[in-house]
Amino acid sequence: MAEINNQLILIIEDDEFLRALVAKRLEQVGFRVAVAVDGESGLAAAAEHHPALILLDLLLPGMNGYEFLEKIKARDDLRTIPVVAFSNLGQREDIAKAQALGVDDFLIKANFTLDDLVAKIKERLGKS
Amino acid sequence: MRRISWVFWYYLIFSLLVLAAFTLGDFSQPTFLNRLILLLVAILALNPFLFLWRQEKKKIYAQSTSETQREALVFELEKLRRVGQDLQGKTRELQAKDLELRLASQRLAEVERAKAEFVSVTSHQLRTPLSGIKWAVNMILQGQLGPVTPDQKHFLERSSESVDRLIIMVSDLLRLDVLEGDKGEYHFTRVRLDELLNKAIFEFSDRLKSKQLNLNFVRTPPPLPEIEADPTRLSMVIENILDNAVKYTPPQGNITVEILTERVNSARSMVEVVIADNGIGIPVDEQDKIFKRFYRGSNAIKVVPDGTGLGLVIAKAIVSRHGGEIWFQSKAGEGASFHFTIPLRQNKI
Repeated sequence: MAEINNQLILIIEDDEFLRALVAKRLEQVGFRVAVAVDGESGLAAAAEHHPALILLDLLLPGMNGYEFLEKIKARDDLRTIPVVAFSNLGQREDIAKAQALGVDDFLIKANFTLDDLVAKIKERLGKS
Repeated sequence: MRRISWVFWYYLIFSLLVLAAFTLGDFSQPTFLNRLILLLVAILALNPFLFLWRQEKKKIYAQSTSETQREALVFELEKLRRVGQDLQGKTRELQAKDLELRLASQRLAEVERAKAEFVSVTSHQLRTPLSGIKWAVNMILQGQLGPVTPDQKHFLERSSESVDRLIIMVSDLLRLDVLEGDKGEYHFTRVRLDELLNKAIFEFSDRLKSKQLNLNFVRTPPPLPEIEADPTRLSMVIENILDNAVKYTPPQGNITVEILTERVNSARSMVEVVIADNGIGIPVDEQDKIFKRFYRGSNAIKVVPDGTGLGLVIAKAIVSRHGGEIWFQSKAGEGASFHFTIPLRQNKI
């Protein structure tokens, strides 16, 4: 587990409260955290930091999560970074659309706690 | 207008002349016989006149009758014309009313759309801050932000439960909005209903065990035809009904699940699912409200205070989209049996 910790997670989330909570919990368990508030800045942060994993909200101002996915999966240097979508869009159309764009996991925010999220991230990082 | 024939005038003058001759004439030997003959001639001459005069009177009478009839006809025509005018007025009124109604129904449709939109947007947006509260409360509760006293822990646990309940309600509302609206896509595939029921029953096994409920899934004599349905949505129907049965049946009670295939070969082929329990039932005077949003039976609230009153509404929306029907039989204290039908084939549009 030692190599899982201290890895960089990029959080792309426009809601400040949620962003702060996720960052706090991830730092607590030993991850390093970078944050972005929309698709554009998220893409720039991903290119700059090359995070181990991206946590992506789908409803974002400007470039939304789906557009972000299209962009990042089109880039050779970034397409292998695992992306976990977390959103309150939970209809099967939303999930199918995200999966078609190459998302690795899909979590509905209201349905999990931050500990569930940490477990999911660790599981995903262990796989890749 | 009234033409008296020349015969009349002719006889009138003739008879008057004879009368005049008779009375004024100088008869040298005015014998009684002479006078008598002249009188007879005069009477004879007057006869046609009397006859004609009677004729004229009849004619005049006839004419005046036809006159009255004509007047009556004119009057009737006038009446009809007024009725016609009235009708025209009424038609115009009706047309105006029709337009009004159409506008009103348009407005109603708009309101419905706005309402659905509102529900959908708010439920999405409500879930974001709710997620925040849920995450924060859980972090504090787990002691991840510092030590928590037993009192704090107790109330944090209650808060966490409340948030979860709120999230379920909002999610149910959103789900219902999707299921009832035209946004919710249904993916119809071939489905084995018994497998679907088995899976749903399996999901409940822990709760059944902990309440010592006895569930009997009656085997349907084969062959059981496959149905065309959306398995995820249909599972939701089964789970919502089963959830009620488990919730509202006292420990050691019985639940029966059965598939009826009697109508498989009827004109509109369908299968029927029955989920019956011997729980608290539904009071008769509340039965028409059971499929209404947010309604919960008065006895149900006493047994399980928390609930959204949306489970059966969702079930009904899904069954309807499949072209089936849902209904129940129940009495307070005597359990409830819920039935729903699903057509074997979906009508392709």
